Amino acid sequence: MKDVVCPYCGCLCDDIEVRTSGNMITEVCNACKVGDHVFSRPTSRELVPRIRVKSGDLKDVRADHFHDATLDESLTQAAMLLEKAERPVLFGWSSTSTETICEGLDLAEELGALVDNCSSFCHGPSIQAIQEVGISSATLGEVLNHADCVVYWGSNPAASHDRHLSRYTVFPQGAFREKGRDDRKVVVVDVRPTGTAEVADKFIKVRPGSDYETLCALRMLVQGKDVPDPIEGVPLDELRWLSDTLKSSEFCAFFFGLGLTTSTGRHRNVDALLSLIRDLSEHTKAVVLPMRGHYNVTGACEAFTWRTGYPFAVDLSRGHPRYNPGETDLFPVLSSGECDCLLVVASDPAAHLPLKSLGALRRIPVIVIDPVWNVTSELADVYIPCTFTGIESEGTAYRMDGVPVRMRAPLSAPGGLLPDREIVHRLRKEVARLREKEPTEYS
Amino acid sequence: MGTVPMGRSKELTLTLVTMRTVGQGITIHKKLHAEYRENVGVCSLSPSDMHSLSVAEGDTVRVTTDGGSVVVRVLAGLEGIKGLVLIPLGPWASAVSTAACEGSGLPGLKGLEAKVSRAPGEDVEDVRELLRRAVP
Repeated sequence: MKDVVCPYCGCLCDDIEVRTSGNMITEVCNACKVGDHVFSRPTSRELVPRIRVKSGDLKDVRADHFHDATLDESLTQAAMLLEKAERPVLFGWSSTSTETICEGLDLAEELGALVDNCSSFCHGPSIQAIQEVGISSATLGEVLNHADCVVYWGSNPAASHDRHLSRYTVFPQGAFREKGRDDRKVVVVDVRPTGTAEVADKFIKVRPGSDYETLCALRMLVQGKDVPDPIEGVPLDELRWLSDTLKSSEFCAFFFGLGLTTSTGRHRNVDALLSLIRDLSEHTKAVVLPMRGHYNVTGACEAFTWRTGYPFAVDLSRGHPRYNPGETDLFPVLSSGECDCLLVVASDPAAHLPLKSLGALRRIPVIVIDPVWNVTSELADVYIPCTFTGIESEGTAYRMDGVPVRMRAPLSAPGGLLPDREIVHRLRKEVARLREKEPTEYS
Repeated sequence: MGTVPMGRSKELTLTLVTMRTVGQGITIHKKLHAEYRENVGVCSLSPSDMHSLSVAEGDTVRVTTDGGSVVVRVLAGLEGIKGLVLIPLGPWASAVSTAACEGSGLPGLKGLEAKVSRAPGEDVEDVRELLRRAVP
């Protein structure tokens, strides 16, 4: 099958070719090393739902045991847990289809739940900054055809988005960049010389936690103002060279990652970068894009926004959407003890929450809907397996630049598994049944 | 307790920076498997910091921050930088991340002060062992 879309990162490469035999993928072409492994899927996999029987020992998850359940039994159990919760939280929605996310938002409205996606673990601060400053952005196609200067700041696509440079930004020929790599200047700004820096024309090393100061100094240079030498360890000559290179370019494109959003300053770092882009726009065409990680976290933000007005961390408990990052994200409501039932779909927050906060997940009911048994499943009361979207079921995902891509399904569902879209839909119907009312049609 | 050779330290104070790696990506669907621990329960140190600590590739070190403490294995092949201890995002990095969100909902993952010391005889915990000590 040709034109298969890789369900791993925000690049959503849509030129993958796979060969199949007996509902197995035997060969993958064009994918990066990680994409190749994603299509191979785990060989040992749960195919039936499981319900936890707790031992009473909160400290030892291994003392509990699970029993296999039917889909109906597991949905009833999950619906009962969600229905009786006072502060249910529905989290994840970033490694699945946009159709599933819409079902999840319907369920959140039905429950009056707090609904959040993986942005609160990655580019939530970027969204906060975009809402403050605004963003001058572009599609990856525009970057490919026009950009003669590409800057990666606090991002290492060589490890996280392997084909970003080869497919979209640096190496390919563009309509106005016929020589490809030779027509572009590439700059990497990071705390360490990453794999991406190896292919750059210039690497500028910043101290950890000094991105805000460095960006502000660069803004002053772009504005023609004097700045002291050095800035947080960065020689002034390097920043002056970068300022001159950017201003003399015809189209400069910035890409930034968690190096800005998870270090000291958070959204203030991104605020400074977006402001730099605004300053550069006085001199040249300048755009900036966040390097979104999960393959459809962009779609989650799109769907959340068109359904509630806000891109993540949305609290529907008052009957209307409320959004206050830092208060209505998963981590704050979990660590404050507010959350009394957690549904996780297509995500693994237990692998990324501070370890000390995971005790909260042992004290509340947790429901996991995911193709694989992950770290959060270890703490789940109900686990419902589903298909891999983009491999075993179709769906729509949004690339990191906001372009929607239809995902194909080269394989059929193994063992009668359903897509998570269908499971979440049935879960909402079951919640409505328990409340003895017809499910509301929101869409 | 053994003596520390001249010019060597029992403990270094470094800056913790979490990162993405290809190894983390290729094992993302195998988080309960040994392969995931081998790729993600690791850290990168500069050659000079390794020399100061008297550790070699494959040895274990203990990393301690205000957020907690964890044992990881020093991995070859990653870009080690003097003064930094680099750990891939995942349960081992989460064991030392902090609850400081700075007005966002995002825990502290980069730029944390970390004490790094040799951990002879200590192995890298697997995911289930980490979860077991998550409940105080």
